Amino acid sequence: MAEATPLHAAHDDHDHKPHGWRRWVYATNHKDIGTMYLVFSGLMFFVGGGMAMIIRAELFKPGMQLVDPAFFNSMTTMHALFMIFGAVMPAWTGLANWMIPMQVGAPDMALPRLNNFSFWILPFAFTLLFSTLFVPGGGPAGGWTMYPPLMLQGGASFPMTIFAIHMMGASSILGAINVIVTIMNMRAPGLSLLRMPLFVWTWLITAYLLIAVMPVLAGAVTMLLTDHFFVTPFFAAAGGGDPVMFQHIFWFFGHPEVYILILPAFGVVSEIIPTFSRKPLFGYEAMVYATASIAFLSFIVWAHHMFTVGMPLAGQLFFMLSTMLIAIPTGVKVFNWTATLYKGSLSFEPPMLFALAFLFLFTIGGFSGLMCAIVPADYQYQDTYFVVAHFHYVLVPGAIFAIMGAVYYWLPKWTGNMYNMTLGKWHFWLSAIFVNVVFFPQHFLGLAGMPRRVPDYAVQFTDWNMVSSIGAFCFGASQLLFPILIWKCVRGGERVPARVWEGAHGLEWELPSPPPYHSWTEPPSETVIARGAEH
Amino acid sequence: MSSSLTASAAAHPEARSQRRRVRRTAIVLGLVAGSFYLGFIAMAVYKAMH
Repeated sequence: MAEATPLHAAHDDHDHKPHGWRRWVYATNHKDIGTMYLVFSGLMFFVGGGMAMIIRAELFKPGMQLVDPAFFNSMTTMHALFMIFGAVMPAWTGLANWMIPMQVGAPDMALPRLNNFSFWILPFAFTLLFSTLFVPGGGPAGGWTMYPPLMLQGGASFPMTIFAIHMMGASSILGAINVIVTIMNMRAPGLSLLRMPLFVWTWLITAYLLIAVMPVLAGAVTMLLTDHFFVTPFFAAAGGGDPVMFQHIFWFFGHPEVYILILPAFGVVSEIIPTFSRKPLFGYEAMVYATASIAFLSFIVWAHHMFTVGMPLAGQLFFMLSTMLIAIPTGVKVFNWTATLYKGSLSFEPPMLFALAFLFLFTIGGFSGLMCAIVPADYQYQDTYFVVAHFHYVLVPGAIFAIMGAVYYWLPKWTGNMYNMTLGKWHFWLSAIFVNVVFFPQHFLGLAGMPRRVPDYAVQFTDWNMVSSIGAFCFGASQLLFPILIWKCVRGGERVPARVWEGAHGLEWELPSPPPYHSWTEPPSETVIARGAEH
Repeated sequence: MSSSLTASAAAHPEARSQRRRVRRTAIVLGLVAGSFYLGFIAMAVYKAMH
């Protein structure tokens, strides 16, 4: 960081933005970087969504009609990688960049140049990953879990995929370091940890998860790389290695990763529901402890993803029971949100609609997760569409609806303009209806025995596949409303006050709309903090 | 960016120690991440040898 400049000079500089491409390439401002993350995430959402459309088009009826099986497998693999690492994670990082400094009374993220680096790794990583579709042998096709020995049979795409994963991991780790350092060191004086907004709390815990598990993924894929190119026998049974060990290491990363995707959603919903209920959040401290408990438990449940691989009965029992334990802190959250709604003065603007849909539909995903946790039942569900339905309920009306709710909640703050409410409600209702049309029938398909990751299927699965595909096309088309709404809002609209929503609390609402280029050049006073910290 | 942070730095006498804390925390977290990376590979090496 540069040497300190005199305060008056900095004041003169308050809203002086760099212009042109330099503003974005050399960006160190948290709002600019947040915007870049969000735009990038939106782009990846549509690329990954396009892949989902190809998958659903192929599955519209039995038989092979549009793509060859290898390309279909590439699509399922790439869809997951683009959605998880390209859409959801960068969206949360973008929201963290925009909101955390504003919510903790800091002028910027603690390490702005590192922030720039974290972002700019991503376009290169995803360009590399996408380009694997054009190399001999096509893109990675072994599933996003990259299990050996299947993954080791990949063609030229294999090292490119590993390198791209490494870059995504590095970006996430650097971003997480920045978040933790900002929250722990840059909070305004007087803003104690238990006065922080829930979004900041959930992101703090998420950042610790990222630091703990992204290096584990990096270690796993490094070993895959050495197995492939340097004949090490980590996961090669022929050389005395153990392919199941990869699954253990991968899921030690993979399960906390699920919570990396969903914990910030809990934070967002904990902000939105009190605002539109015009009541303080019920059980603020319980929410914090529940989030921390979920994060802790996420480290001791990984093998529930691999019950059928063969493990001792004691292991199965341990992982089944520890998985079920997660229902307790999650239940605390669901009941607290419901208690916040109880006797509230509710209104149903788009952020609230998305938060309520989250509450209902994420809970459905949670219940089917509990079903999958039951070992004998999981023997039937394993590798079927029931699992696909389960995790899509958690991730689409869970994580993605929360991201959309967050954008609808804070977009007027960011732009200073109110968006088109009618268009927002259309976007919500179309999304909420069709997300169920896509994914609910997949429960039936899975229970009837349809395996996942197949481009063709037996004729008895046709009807529900057609319904699911029609739902997917309608859901995909309805998402086009979202960028249109955002574009129109950025271009103009009814001006909004600093506190956009009358029930909103938090330091971000103390800043004007749109906020100045540098947020809190002076730390907020105790009075302002006290007003903002009314949870 | 620098202007925003340094504005804060100039306004508050503890800014220099804050910068030190920021760097120290970042380095510690980076080392933790690095040790997880190497630690899991070392565990796998151990497992492969026994």
